Amino acid sequence: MSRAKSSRRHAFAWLLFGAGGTLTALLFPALLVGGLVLSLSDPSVARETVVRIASFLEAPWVRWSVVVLVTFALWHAAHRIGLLLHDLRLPVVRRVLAPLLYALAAASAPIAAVLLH
Amino acid sequence: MSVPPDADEPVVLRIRRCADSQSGSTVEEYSVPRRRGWSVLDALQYVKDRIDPTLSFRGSCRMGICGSCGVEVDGRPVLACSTFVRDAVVPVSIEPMRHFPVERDLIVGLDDALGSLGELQTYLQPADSRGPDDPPRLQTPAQLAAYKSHAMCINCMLCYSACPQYGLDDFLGPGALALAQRYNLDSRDAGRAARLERAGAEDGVWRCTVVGTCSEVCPADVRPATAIQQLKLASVVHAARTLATTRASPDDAPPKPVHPSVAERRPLSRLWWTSAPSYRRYMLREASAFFTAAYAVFLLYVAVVLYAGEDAAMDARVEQATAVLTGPGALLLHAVALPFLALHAFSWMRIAPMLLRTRHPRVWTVAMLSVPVLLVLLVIAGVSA
Repeated sequence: MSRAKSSRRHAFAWLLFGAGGTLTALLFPALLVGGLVLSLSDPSVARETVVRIASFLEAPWVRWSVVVLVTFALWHAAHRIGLLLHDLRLPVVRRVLAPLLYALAAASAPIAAVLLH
Repeated sequence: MSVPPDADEPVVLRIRRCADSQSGSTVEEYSVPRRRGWSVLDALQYVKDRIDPTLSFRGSCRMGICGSCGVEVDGRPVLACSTFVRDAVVPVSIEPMRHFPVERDLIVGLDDALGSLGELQTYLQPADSRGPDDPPRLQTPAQLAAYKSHAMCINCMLCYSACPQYGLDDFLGPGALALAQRYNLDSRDAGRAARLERAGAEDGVWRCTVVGTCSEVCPADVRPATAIQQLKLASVVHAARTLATTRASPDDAPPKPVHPSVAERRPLSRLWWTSAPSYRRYMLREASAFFTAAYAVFLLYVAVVLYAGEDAAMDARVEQATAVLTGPGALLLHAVALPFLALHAFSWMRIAPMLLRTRHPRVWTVAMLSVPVLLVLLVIAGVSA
């Protein structure tokens, strides 16, 4: 691969990684806190909140936001796990796992879109 | 235990010695007088002058400007002349800088790292040539301020020693990349495109995973980690801009050949990340990726159950989702994932301002962190209502 192509490949992967990292840094703490509170609640109390979430999901922009968030989060995780395997000096595992993780992350977009359309 | 000043008890130095790059190393102990004002370099010089003249090390200016005396003291890369025996843990462990082949005792081979400087063309490349009688190229104070911090590099190579990526793989390294950004930001320079081409290669900016220890150990506040993040962004823009023009280009010149001395480096242990708190924090941060993936899948699952449950009525979907969200599995996932994602958010907002070329990165960090904090408060208020 030419240096220019390699550079573009890395740049593109990093851009998506950055987008995923920013989205998850902004949104996941709040979602996790909300989810933690729900998981500690009595089901009869939690039900009201779940109903509200369900009606929220009726709006297409909310569902598209979930698709975008999930896709970028998975890409971010795939990229980071690949680098982690490199840091742990597991090149063979990385060579097998990293493309698979990237493929799963890329596939999550159409899958999520179909499931939530 | 630190060294009390000028007591009678001598200080013990434990110095890693080796005769040459092919020999094994041993640790030798030397007792030196306990002097409050002594640097590690002073102590090494005492050993060479009074105890063992064969001890070899580098040193010159004795004032932290020449960059010659890089060593590892108690496992941390430092300048020997700027590190004081009184502040060290006794016995004081002194080793050659890691990630470099050892030539003798505390002297390491720097050829590979110095080669990176040439690869990145870290010198001024003005658009026009001027002779000695021509007027100088002027800069405003603001133009100077844009690159000055990165220009303070003394090529001590401590950042290379601190950077695990340089030890793990072929990497141009933090020092050379910081200097490349120094020239890219210089208003008198016209060599940016060529540097970005080189910096965007496999062994360039993309090796950096923002461990951050390069900036921690830098004695001149060059902030190489910051420079590299800016270079990444510049590389992305450069790659996009040159997309149309480079598609048909032939293959480039081969990458920088690995210097033969690299083969003589001390190999990095697989558990390298356990050797310093900074490295352990970094790995903890990177491990958050597993929980990012797990939570993303969980979110999608809950959304699908709530919205796209198989022809089930709303009540049934809500019951199923409630059961998932209040089950023990959800509790475990949220309880374990939350601290990791909080660490991810905090560290991300500390790194993000590096891209902005701002003089107030902490202000930006606080501003950026206020968004997830506000959202957390809103969610708590909403769930409690």
